[in-house]
Amino acid sequence: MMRLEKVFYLTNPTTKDLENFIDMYVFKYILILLARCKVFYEGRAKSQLEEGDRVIIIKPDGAFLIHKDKKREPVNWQPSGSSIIWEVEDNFFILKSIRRKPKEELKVVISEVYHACAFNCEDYEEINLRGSESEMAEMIFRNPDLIEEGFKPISREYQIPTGIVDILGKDKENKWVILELKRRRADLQAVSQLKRYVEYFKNKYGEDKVRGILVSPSLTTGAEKLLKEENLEFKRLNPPKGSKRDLKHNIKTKKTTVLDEWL
Amino acid sequence: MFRGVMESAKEFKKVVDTISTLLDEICFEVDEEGIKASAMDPSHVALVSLEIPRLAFEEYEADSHDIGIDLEAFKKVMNRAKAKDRLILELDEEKNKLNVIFENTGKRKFSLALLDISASSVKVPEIEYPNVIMIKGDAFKEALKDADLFSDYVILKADEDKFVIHAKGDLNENEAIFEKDSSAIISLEVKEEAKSAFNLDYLMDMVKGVSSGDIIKIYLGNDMPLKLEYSIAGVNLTFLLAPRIEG
Repeated sequence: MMRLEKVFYLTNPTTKDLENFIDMYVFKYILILLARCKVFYEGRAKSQLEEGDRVIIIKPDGAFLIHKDKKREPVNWQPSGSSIIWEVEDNFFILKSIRRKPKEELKVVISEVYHACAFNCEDYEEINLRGSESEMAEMIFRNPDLIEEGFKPISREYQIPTGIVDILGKDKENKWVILELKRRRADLQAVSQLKRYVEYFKNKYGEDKVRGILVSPSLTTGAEKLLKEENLEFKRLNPPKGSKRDLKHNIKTKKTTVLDEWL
Repeated sequence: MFRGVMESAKEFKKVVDTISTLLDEICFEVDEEGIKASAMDPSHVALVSLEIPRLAFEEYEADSHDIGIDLEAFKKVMNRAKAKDRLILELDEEKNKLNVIFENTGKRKFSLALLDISASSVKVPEIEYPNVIMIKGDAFKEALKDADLFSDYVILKADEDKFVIHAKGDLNENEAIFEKDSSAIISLEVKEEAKSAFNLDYLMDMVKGVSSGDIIKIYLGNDMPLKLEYSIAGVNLTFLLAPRIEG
């Protein structure tokens, strides 16, 4: 399988190189700039930060963070969804992050860039997921018949060398049952996860002693196909109502372009 | 000099309302033919262009001027317009102000300080579009409001038979379908099936001033900027919106 490059970087880039670099990676990868800059903010308030060395982070969703060498919080920031424009003026590289509502503009005047890095960051996990899948697990433990009649859950978050099994149990014929829980539409990844766990148990207890069930509200077509091929099962189940709302999906596949290239 | 009189201040308010949601300031280029202005929003996603031919005015007299206006202030003033007010716009060259006068039972005058900005060089580009859709303004506007329930962007699709507005959230979706012969569609000229995604916030702002009788002309291509045209009170408005494309 081809492995895409994960990290690209420039050290002490010229303004021109930096411009190309940003153009190429902004909104696709996480951009991290180690730079000397001034920061101007205008919006709900007004602020100005004189020149200093800072870490600037621009995430693919538009989130824009400027960190000083101290403290946990960024000294200045814009939320995801902000748009970014840049220009060169009198040898200064100027980055602007603009939020529309409320109207806020963060302007970073960069006098020197020591290092620019673009990180092809792949991260499909969401922070509350564990929590809310555990709500699903609780629900199943309280009412095992939701899976099927006679199902007996035995262990939660059962650790094996290839990962953590959401729920391990036995069916009425005393076969091992591995449950993989997804609180939203399950994809290929969920199926291959389940497959890994099932294989581990099959090696241990024998081919016909183990069943694998993917538990989620729905399946992608790819997942459905692979599930059949692998002789795994699917149980439609919605996470309990009133559970933590999904965090908005972080991975944006689309971005708003700017008009400049058309003018 | 510049002086223009319009019959309805309330109608012109819609124009100012619409452009002020997208732009902070604008430079009106005034001459004997009328008024022109165009500018991009600060994030370069939208372009606004307006044209007020002298015929849109009851009385009009002008020579060449660039009149830079803070739209926030202009909007506040226009919000004070009452139903039967006539609108008088006049340039006070001595004091460097634009006088906005509502005339009804008496005259209410507001003087706006001029901004020192020059006319924008951006113009609506001459792009050839494969598809042109003319649709009733309120139908389009309502479809966008529907889309806003579930998503922050909207997909516009056109083929020979229909124009479709589609929105998809994480869990829910919505679709408004306008068949070629539906009463909302004035005309549907499609040379090439097209589908593009756009930021819904911007799009809703662009049609803010549209009311039920208005007709919107939509130019749509594949991954091309969306172009919208409509008129309010004789003012021709053109908007360009950058597409969202796979990033």
